[in-house]
Amino acid sequence: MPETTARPSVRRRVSFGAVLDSFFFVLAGFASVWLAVLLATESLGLGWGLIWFAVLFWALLAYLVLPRLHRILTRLYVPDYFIGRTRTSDGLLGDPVNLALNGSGEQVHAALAAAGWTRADDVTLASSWRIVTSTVRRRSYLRAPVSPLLLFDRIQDFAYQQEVENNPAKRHHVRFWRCPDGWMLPGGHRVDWLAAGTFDRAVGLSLFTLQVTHKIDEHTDVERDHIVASIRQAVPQTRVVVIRDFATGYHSRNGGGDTIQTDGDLPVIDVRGLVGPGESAAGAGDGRVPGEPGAVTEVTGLS
Amino acid sequence: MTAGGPLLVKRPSSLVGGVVLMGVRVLTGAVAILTVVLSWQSYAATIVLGGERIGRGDPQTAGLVLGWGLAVYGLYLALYLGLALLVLRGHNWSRVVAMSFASLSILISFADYSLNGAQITLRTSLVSVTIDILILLALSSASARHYARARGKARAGR
Repeated sequence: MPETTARPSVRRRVSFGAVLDSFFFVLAGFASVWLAVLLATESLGLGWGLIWFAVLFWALLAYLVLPRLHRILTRLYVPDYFIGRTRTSDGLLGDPVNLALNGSGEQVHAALAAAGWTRADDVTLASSWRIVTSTVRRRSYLRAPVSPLLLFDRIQDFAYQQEVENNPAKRHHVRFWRCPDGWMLPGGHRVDWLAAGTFDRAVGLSLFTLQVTHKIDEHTDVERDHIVASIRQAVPQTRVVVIRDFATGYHSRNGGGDTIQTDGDLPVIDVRGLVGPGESAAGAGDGRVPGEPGAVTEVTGLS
Repeated sequence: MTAGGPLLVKRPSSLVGGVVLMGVRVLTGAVAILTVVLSWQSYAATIVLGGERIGRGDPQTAGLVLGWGLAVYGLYLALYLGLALLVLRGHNWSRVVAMSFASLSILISFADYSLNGAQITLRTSLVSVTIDILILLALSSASARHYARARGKARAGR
């Protein structure tokens, strides 16, 4: 009895808290814009101090003001369901989802390790500092962290990369998200993992937030095909189903403002045939001989 | 690997940053109190009560007024420090109170700036306004909110 009476009041309190939170969130956004104006006004009266203030002003704008404004606005206009795109932590549309996998976490890790991919460190203060210093000094950092992108409302489960020319500014990288249980792609295809692979070609400023970030190569299909080819070369028995024209947005911009182009195909890599270190070949499942090249199947739409 | 359970419990850097700024606020207040205490006589002499300077004629009353003023301010700082620690521990109501304080301070400054044309520069209140805005930005961020909510739920579930 007390439970039934308590419930509605709890619900009301939560929604009131949410309204209050939104109020503070938006107020902070406006206040930060005002702060930027104050800092800009103050800097006009400074001689050589201007340079320091300019740096401070940029940091404020890029890391506090613009992200907050984007968060407020994208909450309103970016859909919160699957549209084949990841989102940045500021809510902007990020790298395209251009790869899917079937298999357990261990099988995915094993396939990627065999294909010469290195797992990225998690983003911490230490790893962030290291990627900054190694980029500036052009020193190799094989396990450099990747920035967080969100799919299913959460940060990637893990990411893999391949550094190019021992330069942390350039790298192949791909982020992975485990799909929720029972979740299906548009069209009813069931996959275990979704991934977004892009090639970092340089370090630059984001178009939308002015933050320092990696700029990606426009041709995301090249990176996608590189990932598929590397896995198939290392683990020949993987089967691939290519869903033709899965994505209908063939060109766009990612969260840093870099243009992206794609043919819209979504390869689904099946690594379930991969034998784990402790398993016997007979347990692999589908009766095929291990090592036998897996088939590539194409799925096309009605026409 | 799948759900964000353990991630939610991890204290986000935005929350820590906000609490550090609240600490800075307390620290500057403490330094101000120390400055006054160290040159007590000169500050006591400037006390104005009821439109007249009582510092010269009645130094004892002036000292009393100054002492009470500092004591009240000190108490406020102590409470504010306590509030900061509660925010750090993830109490949602303390986060809301801290954001309300910061918002009130920002809105008063903004009203003064836009209505009375008050100058907000480095020499006046720019640093203080900046700290308030940064506190509000940090504590109102999604990560700080999620953390406080998750901790609140964990507490309720215990």
